[in-house]
Amino acid sequence: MHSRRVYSLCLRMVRNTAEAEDLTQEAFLQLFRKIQTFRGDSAFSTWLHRLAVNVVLMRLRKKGLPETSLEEATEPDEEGGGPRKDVGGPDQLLTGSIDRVNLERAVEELPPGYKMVFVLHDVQGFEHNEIAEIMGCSIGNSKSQLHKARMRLRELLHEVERDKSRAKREAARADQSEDEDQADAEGA
Amino acid sequence: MLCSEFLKDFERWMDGERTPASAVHLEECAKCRQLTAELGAIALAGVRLAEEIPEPPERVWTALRAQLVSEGIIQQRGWREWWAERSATFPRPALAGAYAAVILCAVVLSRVPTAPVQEPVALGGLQSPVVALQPQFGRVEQKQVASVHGRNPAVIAKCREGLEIVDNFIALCEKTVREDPRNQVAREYLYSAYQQKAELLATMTEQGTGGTR
Repeated sequence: MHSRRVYSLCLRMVRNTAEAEDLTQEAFLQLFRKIQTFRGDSAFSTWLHRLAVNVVLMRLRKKGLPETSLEEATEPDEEGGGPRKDVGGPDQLLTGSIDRVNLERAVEELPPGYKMVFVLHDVQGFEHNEIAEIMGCSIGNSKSQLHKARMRLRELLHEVERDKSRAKREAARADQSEDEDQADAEGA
Repeated sequence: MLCSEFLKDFERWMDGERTPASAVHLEECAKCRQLTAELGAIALAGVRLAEEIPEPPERVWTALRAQLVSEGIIQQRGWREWWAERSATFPRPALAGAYAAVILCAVVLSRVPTAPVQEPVALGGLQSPVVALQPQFGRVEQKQVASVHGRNPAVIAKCREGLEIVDNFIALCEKTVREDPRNQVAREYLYSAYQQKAELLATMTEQGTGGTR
């Protein structure tokens, strides 16, 4: 059970099977090296995931990827310093169940900090107090980052919908102009 | 309530903190309603993503084991498997042997005419070697059981079970020897029982000095 969740976390963070296997192995290696430090203050899964998250973040740092620190201040918007206000999608609705492939791709595009919190909370089901312990941040930060992650995912999914609609319209236009050309040719 | 005010509390709303004013706004505002529904859908879709990931492949555990062995954190695979097999099978021959010995002893003793109860005095004033060894066995037993304690509860349980059977048999033979010091058969069975116990303790000793970090 633990192995699958750790592997899942690693795979979602790096999106590379070989690297995810490597990170999983490293996480469990840390477990064996540090098992005597486990005091039982937190749940074992929380403690293990803390090791796994540290392994993943260290690897990302080595790769030079930017992290979103969970202690960073909220991004100001143009108007006045509060959170970005994006009410409702422009034209499209994310109707029905969200396409899994699109969601996976959107998650891939999240910054590492947002991605980590989203995966831990919405995918793996950790509570904010557990995420705070895993990530070494406050509960408030965990909630804030999750909210931002979901908002960003929503934007990305809307972009996908817009692109699809645009492609459909262009295809329809192309079909229509073909039909017109054919009609002209027949008329002539 | 304006949308801007709703959005200030939106994070708390998504966290489950519902206020009456926000609830009223949601009923009236289609855009905020859409936003709330879509974020909820994203959260639900996240749960389904958890079903997608398989177990890590076996090579991960093979490589992990090799690394742990090279760091000395765990022993070579062969030792652990040997012990697991030994602990699974060893008590059975010992138990079977002990039971067989008890049965044979009982059969033999029932046919040997017992002398009147004598004082438990060793022959020729010399301490019986068996009696002399008893305290040492007791100390070794406690030390070895303690060294194995906590390593593998199933193995511990089997060892204790085996030791208990052998101890009971030893007690029976000792009683017989005390009652009839000249009963050679009982002595031989007693020596055999101590030998079984020594073998069991020796096996536990090998496990206890397996040399983990």
